[in-house]
Amino acid sequence: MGILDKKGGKKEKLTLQEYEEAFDLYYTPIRNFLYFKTSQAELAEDVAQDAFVKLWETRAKIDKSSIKAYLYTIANNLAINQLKRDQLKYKFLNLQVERKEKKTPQYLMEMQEFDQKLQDTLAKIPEGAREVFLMNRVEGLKYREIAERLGLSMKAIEKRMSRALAILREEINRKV
Amino acid sequence: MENEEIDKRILEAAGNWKTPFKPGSEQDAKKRLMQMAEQDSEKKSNGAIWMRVAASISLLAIIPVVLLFIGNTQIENSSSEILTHAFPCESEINLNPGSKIQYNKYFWSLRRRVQFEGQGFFNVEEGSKFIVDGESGDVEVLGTAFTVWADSNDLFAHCSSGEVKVWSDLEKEVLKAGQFTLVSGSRLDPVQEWNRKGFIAPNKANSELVFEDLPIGVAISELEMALGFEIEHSLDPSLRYSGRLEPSNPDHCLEVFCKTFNANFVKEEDLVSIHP
Repeated sequence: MGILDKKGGKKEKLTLQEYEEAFDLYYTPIRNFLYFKTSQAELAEDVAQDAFVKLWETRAKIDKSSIKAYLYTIANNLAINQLKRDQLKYKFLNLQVERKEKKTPQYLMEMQEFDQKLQDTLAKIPEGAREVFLMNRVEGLKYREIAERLGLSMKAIEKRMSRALAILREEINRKV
Repeated sequence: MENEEIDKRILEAAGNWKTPFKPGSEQDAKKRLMQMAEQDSEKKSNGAIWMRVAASISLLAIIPVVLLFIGNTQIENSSSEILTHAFPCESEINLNPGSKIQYNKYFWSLRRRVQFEGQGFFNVEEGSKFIVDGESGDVEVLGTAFTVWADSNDLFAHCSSGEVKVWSDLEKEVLKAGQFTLVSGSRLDPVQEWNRKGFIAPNKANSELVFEDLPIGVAISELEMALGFEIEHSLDPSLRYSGRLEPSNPDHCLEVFCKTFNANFVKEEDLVSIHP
């Protein structure tokens, strides 16, 4: 059990060591979450760092056991504000493909096309459903973990995932 | 394609996706954030050190005030006997009835200073300077025995042994053993020779004042206190007085006193004038 997993402790100021531990645990997932949300890699990195700056600034006030939820909330709010301020809209993700298995060039071309269609379709999925879909598929997070991070119920996650799949399926069928 | 097959393909394809961030970008971010946190931490801890230093200084400033307050010692002899009081340095004072002293016992080793009103014979142990503060003058000694009488108007100092410095607001005199002087207002009388007997308070037994070869100024001060009048005189200050006076009858007392010097007195309310 890490320092940050302790529950119900009194509010002691986060130490440098604990702050580093929080970074190691949550920076990448938060940055990715922000990317799934905004589709802007640079913005995601900036906002993720801003969330950690905020965490340090408020380290005396927050409960160590709720750092994860706190970071996601802060990151989400900062991203929304940033999108509003810059009037940015979700465009498209530039997710890269990492294939481990060796396939024929033709199969690879087909897959490439398929990936492109999928990624193009992501913009049509409602934000909540898209985040859940990408967190599950790209981050490899289980529904329970996504529910914890986003502060939602498992049912809500399942629903969002189904919705994302339904839209993707419909689009793929239309394009095929 | 069946829905299940499409879902499977979608999930498989998306499972191979990865975010487009540059390798090592997390490390760069970590470096920046940790640097910021460390700098902020140092700044705060320096601030905390300064806060502690400031608190210590405040405490150091408060302690003397507290000691000054709680170390204040006031002795008033409200009895009819002479009261002997020992100071922390083992110097002593024989305090006449109606006299009082005030000093701080916690600061005594740093500063032997006593506020004094009335009559007292001091026997001072050697050490740092010993100062007697009267309203009209100060007496400073190193190690000696001396007598001080002081009220709001006058200060009389007699040195029995050693040396005694006496200050009025404007002047200073050094008394050697056997000498005395009187401070009246800001004026300091010339030093006069007397005796080395030490304690020179008059004998007040049986409500009488018994003087033995007492300097005229001292005798008049005693009369003032006993009768409750202010006395002004134009007698030669080198005169001495020996005699027995009865203060319960003021007019008779003054008559007896003046007769010794072939002088007369005039009494107006609380002021008595004695002239040859």
